[in-house]
Amino acid sequence: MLYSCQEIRDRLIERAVVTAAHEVDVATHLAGCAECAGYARRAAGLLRGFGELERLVPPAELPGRVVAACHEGYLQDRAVAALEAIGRLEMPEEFEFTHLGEHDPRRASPAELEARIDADLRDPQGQLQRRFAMRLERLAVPAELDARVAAELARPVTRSTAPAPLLRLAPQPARRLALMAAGIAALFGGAWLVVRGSFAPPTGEPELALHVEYVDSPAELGPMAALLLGGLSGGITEYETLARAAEPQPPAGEPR
Amino acid sequence: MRLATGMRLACAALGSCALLLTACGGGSSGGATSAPQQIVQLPPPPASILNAIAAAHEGVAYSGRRTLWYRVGGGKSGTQALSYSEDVLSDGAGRFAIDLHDLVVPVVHPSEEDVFGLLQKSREGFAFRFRDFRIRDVTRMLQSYTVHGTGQVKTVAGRVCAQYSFQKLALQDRTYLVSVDNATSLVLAVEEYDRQGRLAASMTFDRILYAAPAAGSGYHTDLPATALVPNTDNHALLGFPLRRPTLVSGYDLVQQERIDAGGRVWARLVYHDGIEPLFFLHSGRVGHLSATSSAPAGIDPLAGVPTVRVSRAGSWTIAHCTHAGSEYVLAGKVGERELLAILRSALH
Repeated sequence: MLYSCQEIRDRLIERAVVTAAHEVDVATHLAGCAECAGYARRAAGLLRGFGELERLVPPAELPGRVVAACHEGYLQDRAVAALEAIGRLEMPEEFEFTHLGEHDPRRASPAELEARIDADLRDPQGQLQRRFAMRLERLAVPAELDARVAAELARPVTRSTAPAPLLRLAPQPARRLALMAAGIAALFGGAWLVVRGSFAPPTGEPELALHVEYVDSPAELGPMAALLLGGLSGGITEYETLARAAEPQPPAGEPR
Repeated sequence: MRLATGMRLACAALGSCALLLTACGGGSSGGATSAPQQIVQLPPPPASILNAIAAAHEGVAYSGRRTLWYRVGGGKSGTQALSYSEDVLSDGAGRFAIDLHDLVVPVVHPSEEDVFGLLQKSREGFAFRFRDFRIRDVTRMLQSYTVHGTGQVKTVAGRVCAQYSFQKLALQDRTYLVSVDNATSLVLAVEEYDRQGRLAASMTFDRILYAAPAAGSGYHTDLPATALVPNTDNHALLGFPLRRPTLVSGYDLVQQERIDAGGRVWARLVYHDGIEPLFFLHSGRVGHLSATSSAPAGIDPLAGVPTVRVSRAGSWTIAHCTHAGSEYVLAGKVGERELLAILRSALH
């Protein structure tokens, strides 16, 4: 029976269950097909490679953890996780309008909550400081302060209609002149500030502080970052591993 | 002592000879050693040629074998390198496959080479689409690069090729010398030079056959991905609001999708400058797919200054940031400063 290249490759993968008759077909095909013969060599190499990989010894605590995972508490956790994985149905809008009313103020609270959480996340240091400040012990107000405040509040209020000391000294025309001068100064001062603001380089928000660490091994990055870098760089990320396993050789120059 | 001095002098003399040969354009066609600054600059090729090069990457059916070479790190003498050959095939309709053929440098035990081949196979999509040189958009590319013909006619894998140089305008920190098959417009050889004019990477086809691959050929299969909606935070699709970078100058956003990988939901945004891609990935605070996945050890995901881990591999820089339970990954052929600026624009 003649097989296509794809069927032969499937059989190479399923080699464990290939019968003797199939082996003859496979061998016949491989003898006449260089591409499949190369595929077979690579497949055999991969099998050999996997077979020669060092077997990792399971950690000693693994059996204990497996047993613990079967206990009731973990079963509950799994049940909760399974329920969460089912997904949540969105509440239909009609329900909200019917039961909460269109202008119910409670409908605005989720957005407010979201905004507050977002603000906290944007400024985690400030949030931490606020939280710690709130945890500080509150000092009791001294009795003397209470007494002074009470006395101040009990004092009768006297409102003066006289002008401010500076203007009180000046005659009426001079007072008007002073007011005009102050107005002109305020006008020009404001205009100068506007002009300066429009020509000043945009300072923007302060630069976000980042804690930067430099790593050599892609393993110290997250798995997604390591995968991305390995693919983009053509496999350079594996160089250190390969070099450690390399057989002695002269220094590698530029491409042959 | 005298012997050591003599050897040092001899090495210096040999080095000078090699430099002279290099400057004279000596060496084989595959050995790319001439500095890009010495290349003659002819007028830019017409747009029709550039468009044909752009279309050929996925539009030409072929199968062949090629050798890739990468300078690694630099080492003390700058001689560390990774080199391998691989079989590549494309059906001219977007399907492709890449298989490692031989790891040339470093020479390792066959089992190690097989594992490396397996890793390369798992990344063939990245390799074909993003590792390999290609013109992704001619208009965008002409805004980011200066393009010249070099006037050199090269023979690569028995095919007559015209050579072009692509130099990045920003900082002029990278130059590609590209040999293009005159008949098919397929790129058959690429040499990438860094700012100092040193060869950073190269790819050369050793043989190529222009024909549809055999009927039984296996092709790369993509992971399932869902396209994101432009200009929204895609909260409903991702389960968390996507924080898009607002500062990616010189690059166009060309692809945005949700992918599930590494136990998390990721938004993957792909930009390019006409040739080089740039990646931005974000996985939100509630982006875990399973209870077992977690942030990298040693990093507090919910408090403090955002932590960024930066690494380099060849011409690529990558930044991995954890902040408030979110993970961000940025990768591009740009400097660390540019990557961090893009990251800051997403975090603000």
